[in-house]
Amino acid sequence: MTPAEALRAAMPDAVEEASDAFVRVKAEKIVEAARVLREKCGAEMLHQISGVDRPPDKMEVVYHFARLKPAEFLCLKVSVPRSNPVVPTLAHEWASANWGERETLDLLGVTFSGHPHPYRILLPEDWEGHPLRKDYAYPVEYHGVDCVE
Amino acid sequence: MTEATRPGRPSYMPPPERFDPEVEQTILLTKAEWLVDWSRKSALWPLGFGLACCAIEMISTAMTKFDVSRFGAEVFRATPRQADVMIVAGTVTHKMAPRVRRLWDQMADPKWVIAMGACTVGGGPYFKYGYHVVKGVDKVVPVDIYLPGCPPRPEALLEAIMRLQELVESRSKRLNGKDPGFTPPEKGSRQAKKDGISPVEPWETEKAHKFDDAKKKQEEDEARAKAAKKAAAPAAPAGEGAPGAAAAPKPERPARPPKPPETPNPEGSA
Repeated sequence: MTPAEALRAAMPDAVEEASDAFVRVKAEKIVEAARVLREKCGAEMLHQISGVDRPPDKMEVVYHFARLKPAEFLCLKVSVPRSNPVVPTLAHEWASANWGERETLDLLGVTFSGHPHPYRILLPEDWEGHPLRKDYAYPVEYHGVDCVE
Repeated sequence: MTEATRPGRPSYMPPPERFDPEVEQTILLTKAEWLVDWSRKSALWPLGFGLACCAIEMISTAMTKFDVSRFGAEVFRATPRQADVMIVAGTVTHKMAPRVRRLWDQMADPKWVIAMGACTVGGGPYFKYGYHVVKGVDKVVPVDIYLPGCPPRPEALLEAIMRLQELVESRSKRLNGKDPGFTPPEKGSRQAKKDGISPVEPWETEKAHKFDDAKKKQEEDEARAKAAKKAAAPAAPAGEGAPGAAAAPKPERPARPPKPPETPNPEGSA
């Protein structure tokens, strides 16, 4: 059963867009959708979480799952408004989501509600802004060390 | 002439310790300095301090094939308190910069720093868009040897260590009054006069300023007079303050069009 079929059968009103490449679900339904993917399609591994900034009004979070036997990649996407990007966390289901979500929070500023440790993972804690946003303003100076040559 | 007043010696350098001239001219003092530096240069203890891929080359330099122990620098210490030279091997981020500074502060004098690799020399590939990279470790600690490369080959690191040895050895030579490096004599000093260096640059003289100002004023006056004549106002004096003189057409530079914003990559991902 393909992910699109499985999700359409289990939660028809949550699927916004489905293709061979990915399935886009509603942001508040991501935990259930991921659970369906694990139970029906055998997505045992969540190996990457990434984010995309769509400047005018949207932000996306992309979940890359993997099924090991037979090997296949499954992809889930959610879209959230750029003004208030909040997505429920997967960290309680997949331990690997913990750091992936923190990285997305760090670099893109997407908040994951219910995350056990919602803090920056790569940049210093007092860093201002989220560098992978399209409207990121480069810092001039950080703690007395100037950032521009 | 004493060492402290020797022309060419920068004023920020403290005067060297002097002894009785008779003592100073004995062989013992000179030889002791030389001996200390000679032994020091052949026993540089680096701080094992790898931040990125350059560290792999540094490790390779320490291994048997390149064998940095031929130069006496094989004792990589895990603590800054026992190290003489800090080889900053790899990208220094803004998060890491305070730690680098602290390690350098903890090292005992005399201490040296080799900036290894393009990132530490000046930001390297992160020069333009690296929001997180310090554009050169010399913004954090003073650097003695810059070693470019991405990453530098082990031979290059050996070369850097040899250059550092020259630097260490040159200390005793400097103390004897023979500075191996070029230090321009201070302006107006006796040495500068001897070398034919003018105490002031031509454009710094008062005369140059006055000459320029007078010429400019003359040109402006002429332009005003011409404009006044053209405006058919014979009664108006050709001096400043005449309202008719303001009609002089001044070619104005057109404003530069604003730089078009760089089109962002449509697919940005974390």
